[in-house]
Order: sequence, then C-alpha cells, then structure tokens
Amino acid sequence: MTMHEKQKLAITFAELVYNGQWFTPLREALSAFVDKTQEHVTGKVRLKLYKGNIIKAGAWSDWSLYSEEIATFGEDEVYNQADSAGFINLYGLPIKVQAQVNAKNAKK
Amino acid sequence: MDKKSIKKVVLAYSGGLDTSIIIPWLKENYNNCEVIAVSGNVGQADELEGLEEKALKTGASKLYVLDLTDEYVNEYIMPCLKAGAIYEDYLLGTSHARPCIAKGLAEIAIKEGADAICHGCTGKGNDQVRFELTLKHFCPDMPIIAPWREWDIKSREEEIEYAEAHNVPLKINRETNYSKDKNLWHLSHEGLDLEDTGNEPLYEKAGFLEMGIAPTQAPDTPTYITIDFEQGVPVALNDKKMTAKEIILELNKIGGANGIGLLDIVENRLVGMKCTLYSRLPAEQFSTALTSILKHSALTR
Repeated sequence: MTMHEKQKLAITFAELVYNGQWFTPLREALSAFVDKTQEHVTGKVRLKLYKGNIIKAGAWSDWSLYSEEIATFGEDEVYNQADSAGFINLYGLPIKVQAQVNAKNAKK
Repeated sequence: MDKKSIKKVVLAYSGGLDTSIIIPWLKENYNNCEVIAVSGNVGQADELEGLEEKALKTGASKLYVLDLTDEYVNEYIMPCLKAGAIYEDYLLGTSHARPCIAKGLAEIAIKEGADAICHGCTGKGNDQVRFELTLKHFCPDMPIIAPWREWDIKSREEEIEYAEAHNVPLKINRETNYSKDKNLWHLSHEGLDLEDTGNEPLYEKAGFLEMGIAPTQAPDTPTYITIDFEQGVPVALNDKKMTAKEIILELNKIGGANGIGLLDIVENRLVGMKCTLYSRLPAEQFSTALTSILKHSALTR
C-alpha cells in the first residue's frame, strides 16, 4: 500500500517542483511522508554500465521484504496454496454479485 | 512599483548573455541604480571563472558568489530523489535549483537593503515562475524586475547588438550558442537545431557533449559499480564512504565515460507551450535505477 501511494504522490511532488511550488505546506508535507517511507531504504546495489545502459547486477538489503522462501516456484512450507480459494471467493464477491444481477435483469 | 524609488537592485547573475546586458539596461532605465550581482553556485563550476571581473567590468558594484552546492544536494536534490519525483520523463534538473538560488538571492537582498530584485528569465519560460514564487515566500513585499517582460529586445541577436553597443564583454559563438543550464545534477540544452524535432541531436559531434561521450563511442567492456544507500540517500560508492555530493560528481564522470544519461524530450511547460530539450543527467539515471531496486524491496505494496 505504501509503495503504490508513494508512486501516485511522486507525480504530484514532481509537478509541484516543476511548477516552482517548493516553499509550500503541501510540498513540505509530502516530503515528510516521503522521509517516513525511506526509513528502511538501506542496502547495496551493483550495476553494470555498458554503452549508455544501466544493467542491474545485484541488490542486497537487510530490510528487504522480498523473500525467496515465499516467492519460490519450488517447494515451500510457509505458503498454503489452499488459502487462495477463500481469498478469491471474498475478493471476487462484488464481481460475482454484479454478474448475477445483470443476468437476472437481462431475462426480464 | 514606483520606478523612481529604485536605487539599489540585487541581480541574479550568471555572466551569460541575458544577465550581462541587464546590468547596463538597469542603470539606463532605473535611475543609474547600484547593481549588486549574485551568483548561486549549484555546481556550474567552469562558468564561475573570471565572473567577478566580468561583473565589475559590466557595471556591477560587487559580486557575491554563494556556494550552495551542499545545500542544493542535501535539501533539494535528495528530497526529490527520495520522492522519486519524475516529471513526465525525467527526475528534474533545473526546477529544484531555482528555489535554492532564489532563497540565496532573497537573503542577500534583505541583507543589502535592496529596493528590488532582478532576474534574467524570459517571459516564455518556467524559471520566472520558480524564481518569483520563492521570492514571494522569503520577501513578499520586494518589487521584482524582469527585463524580458519590459524591454524592446526581441531575440538573442538583438541582445548581442545591445551588448556590443554597450561594450559588454561577450564570449559568444553563434553556432554553439544553445541556451544551457548546468548544475551538478544536469546540463540541459535548448534552441538552435534542437528546436526542430526532426533533427537528431549531434551527440557524436566534437564539443557537443560536455559531460561525457555518446553511447556509440563508449568502451566495449562494461564497468561495474556498487552504491550503498542509507534511508534513501547514497552513502558509499564502490565501498568507499562519500557524501552524496561526492557520489553525484563521481557518477557524472563514470556515467559520462559510459555514455549514460542522455535524454531528448519534448516537455510541457507550466506557461502553456511544449518545448524541446536535450539534457545530460548521468547521476540522475543511476539514482532512478538504484532507488527502483531498493524501494521495491523495502516498502510494502
């Protein structure tokens, strides 16, 4: 949630800066939000530079939320695939109800 | 503004064509006023050489050169980097230098008890807005003089004629006379052949690129680098602890040598028009690549 919200606000932030609105309460408030999001943006990145290109060549962070154990396509013990069925039923409930109402009205 | 009350003017001065001719113009049009020139150093190092002599020769009573480089990096560039503030296609270059310079300008104007602040921004661009909004914040009642919105000069050609008629020393080469803006974060070019979007920028032409070489001229073997970040700010390059400013300067060199950081765009100006711009931002391109890797790791969806 934090990251997606930050991406949306990044456009607003850039517009404020581009438009000369640096010394405004809104820019300062957005900077305060941004600083909070950066608390754990700590780590090392390796890059390969080649003829105008920047190629990612490794990243390490003690704070990374990426977990190979969870994301793996191999066997894992933390993620129960059967949990997805209930999640999708609830997440898709509004879509299902809309379709049922549409179908009922189409018959009238 | 009562023109007759203007006796002392603080001028945002770069030593370029616009701000050079503004000094005699101010004296001619504002009661032979005292003109105090102020240059904010945001990393345009080579442009500052011989500046004092030039300012005094052109008629200024003195020149302040403010070293704003650390403030610019830490209080303007870094917040934009952390925000990932990308305007249309790029992480901004001129925009965040303007409030930094204008703040310095306002402080000098207040200290000197100036009657007005003058800048050389044209009436067609964004920078007049950026300068003046910052000035309104720091000295809300200070009159602002913007000669481009007042005088009869209509083009750079006429500016050169005015300069020659007023014995203003110039280093103008009409063929490479792009309108440039340089700081330690970027170098932009506008004007001349770049105004026609059908023209390819002359990256390979000797003397065109100032911060490195074209990708087609870059080495055949890749260069590897590492950068360490702490709380969104770069703190080490190739395992060597450095300030963010030092890292930017070093990345400009390494990136420039590998053809990194070319940008050729059409962008939407605040004042309504679209403009073409060629920009060189080696360090900026690293930052976006870096932060995209790290922020994905450290932030929840």
